[in-house]
Amino acid sequence: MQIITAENLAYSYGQQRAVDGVSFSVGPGEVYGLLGPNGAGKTTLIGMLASLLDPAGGRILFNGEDLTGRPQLLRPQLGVVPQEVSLHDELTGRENLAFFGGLYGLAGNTLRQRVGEVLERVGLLKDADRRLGGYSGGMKRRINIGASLLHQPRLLLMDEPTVGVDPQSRNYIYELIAGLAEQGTAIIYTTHYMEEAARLCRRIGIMDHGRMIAEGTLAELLELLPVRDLIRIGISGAERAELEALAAGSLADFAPLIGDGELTLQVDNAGRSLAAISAAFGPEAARISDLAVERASLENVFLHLTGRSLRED
Amino acid sequence: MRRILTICLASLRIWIRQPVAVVVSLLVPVVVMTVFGFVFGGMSGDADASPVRAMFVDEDGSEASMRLRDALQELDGLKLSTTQPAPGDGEALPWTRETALAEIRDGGTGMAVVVPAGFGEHLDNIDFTGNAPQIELLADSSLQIENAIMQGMLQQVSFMTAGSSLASQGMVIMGDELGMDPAVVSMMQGWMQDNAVWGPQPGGADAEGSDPVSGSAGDMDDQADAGDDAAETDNTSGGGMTGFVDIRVVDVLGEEKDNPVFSHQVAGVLTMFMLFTVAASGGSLLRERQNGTIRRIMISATRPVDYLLGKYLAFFLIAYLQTWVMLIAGWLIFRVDIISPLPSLAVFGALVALAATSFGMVLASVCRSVEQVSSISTLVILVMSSIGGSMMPRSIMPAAMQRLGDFTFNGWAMEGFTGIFWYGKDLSGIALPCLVMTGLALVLFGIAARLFSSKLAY
Repeated sequence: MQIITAENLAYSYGQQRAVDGVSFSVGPGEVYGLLGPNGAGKTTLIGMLASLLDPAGGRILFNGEDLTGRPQLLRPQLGVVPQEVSLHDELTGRENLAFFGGLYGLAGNTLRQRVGEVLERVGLLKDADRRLGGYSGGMKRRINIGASLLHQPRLLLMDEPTVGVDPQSRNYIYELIAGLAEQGTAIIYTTHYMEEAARLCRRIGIMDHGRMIAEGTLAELLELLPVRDLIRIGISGAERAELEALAAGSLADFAPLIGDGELTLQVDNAGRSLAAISAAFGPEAARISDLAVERASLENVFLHLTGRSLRED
Repeated sequence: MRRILTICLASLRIWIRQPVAVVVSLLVPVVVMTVFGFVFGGMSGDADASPVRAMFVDEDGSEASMRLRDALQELDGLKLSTTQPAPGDGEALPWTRETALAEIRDGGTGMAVVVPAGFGEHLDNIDFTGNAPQIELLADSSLQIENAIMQGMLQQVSFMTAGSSLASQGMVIMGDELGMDPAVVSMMQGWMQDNAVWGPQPGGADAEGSDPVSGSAGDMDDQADAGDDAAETDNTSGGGMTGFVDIRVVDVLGEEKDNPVFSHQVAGVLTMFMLFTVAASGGSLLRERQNGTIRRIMISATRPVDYLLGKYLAFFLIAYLQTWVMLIAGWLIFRVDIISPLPSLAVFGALVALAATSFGMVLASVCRSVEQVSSISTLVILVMSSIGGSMMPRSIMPAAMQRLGDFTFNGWAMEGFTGIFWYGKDLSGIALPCLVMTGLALVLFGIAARLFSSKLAY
């Protein structure tokens, strides 16, 4: 059975439709990614799932039970890692965790034990008794995540948890997430970093303007693209007119995109296409100054679906 | 309950780890109180802009005492009461020494002029050897400015009203010394009496007569030339010549107390800074809202009311701690007595702290940013403190300002603390300030809770 199922969820801020008929579900041990640009509605969707916002439409099922509009039943089952580091700088890492553990009804030895476990899990046991104000951004993010794990939630909602985090801490967080998934925790992970989504998530939902425009595994989403590989070819001394002539001529089969002194060819498989491309260039091949192959990514999927770049803003 | 305590303890821990907040809450008020106490401790002045109120007790019943009474009633700036408030349809009885003392001790009218029995006779037979007739001024010594003004007024009117008797006797003595014709002395006595150069005419305020400060040497010459027309003097009649009486001030309340200004400063600064502290605490609520901590707390299935109560409890404890730091400092530095009224102080101090905490939470609920809390609270608190008597006694303010003070938090807090410190009242004696503080605590918290509940969402 799916841990959480969202059916046709909708929410508006005044006249502005922020989430419009979004449906998806997440099973135990699954990391589900919500990808989309800023303003796509990801945070609003998380807000509804966390029962902080009352949906204007649709419903939320938890373990098959409709818990829409019943926050006191839903919230104890959830852990929410907010986008901001919502902790107290004046308290130590340990005290921050104890505070939130207390809010979840933990006390005494159970609380102490859980705090220790979480500190170890997020790799901050030796820094536990330092004030949070003295932590690095990455360390704060880890405590931020840890505060949501104390009550051992079955579902974890993570809203862009690695924003502004150093690479070392980011990798730590990725390992943490992977470990939680292995233990059966369902995770909904929002991000606008496609690399994160591709790395962490078994399935990804792409949102734009409040709607789910595509959903599936990475492979399934890439299947939506007409091509898989992009070959970027720089031609030394080439004027635009010359590039246009090449694009319209022998290279037309490769759907070329004209850049500044370069052409980008779109092919299904770069390896198999290189010979044909070389032949199409003919004697002009001698003027090729550099060549790079890029794999199609979620960025390309989003571009293909919306006509906009994921990182335009 | 556990969640409430969790939130409360975390908030206290956070507060104690902010040295600036702790210093501002605990140390700065003590410093301000000490400075104000020493600065204003010797303050005396006559910057009274509202009538001084006093009772008049006539134990003598002579014409002289009546002249004194009438002269006092003529004075601008003095509101003289000669009778007690009439009970229902009953007759209003004159003040007696006992009823006047009770009134002063109860914190009502703070002064009573007592003309003792024999005053008139003593005045008529004054021998100029320093044994002056005496008037008693029963006073609440905390009203230092009013007391000084009253003494000045008494000297002024005694100068005016006792003049005729003293002048008459003075003329007789001078006549004896100089060997003057008794008829001439008698004529001069009569002239002075008739012209009332320095005092009101017999019969008091409505009597016709010259202005108390008019008259000149030329008039005296005319009277001397009139000769046979001079009236026979009557040593007890009105009209004025110069003279003076002894004014004996009886400190009704302050015999065993130190300088009343100190206790006023303790109460005043305590109240003012308590408001600043709770306003800053309210600012911390806004900070938590801005950085998403409140949202996170709500996600943990904590009810909004639990969150508010936890915060309320923490802020109240900080305010109450501040109260006791100030009181103990007042006791150590200025020897303000906090031991004998300890139970009353404990309860009233708690009520004030509760009301102040509610005020701080209302501020946090209506403001949108920490900066707004800071600027609005500064303005509101300083105004309330000024009008309410935290900075200077309300008794020296204009009457309209004094009435306005009844609408301030500080006014009622000062009423209660002054009642405990100075008038030695227990809780039943300050029942109204207690009720006001309780009402403020409940009503303001209700307002804050209602306003906050809509803001504690995502």
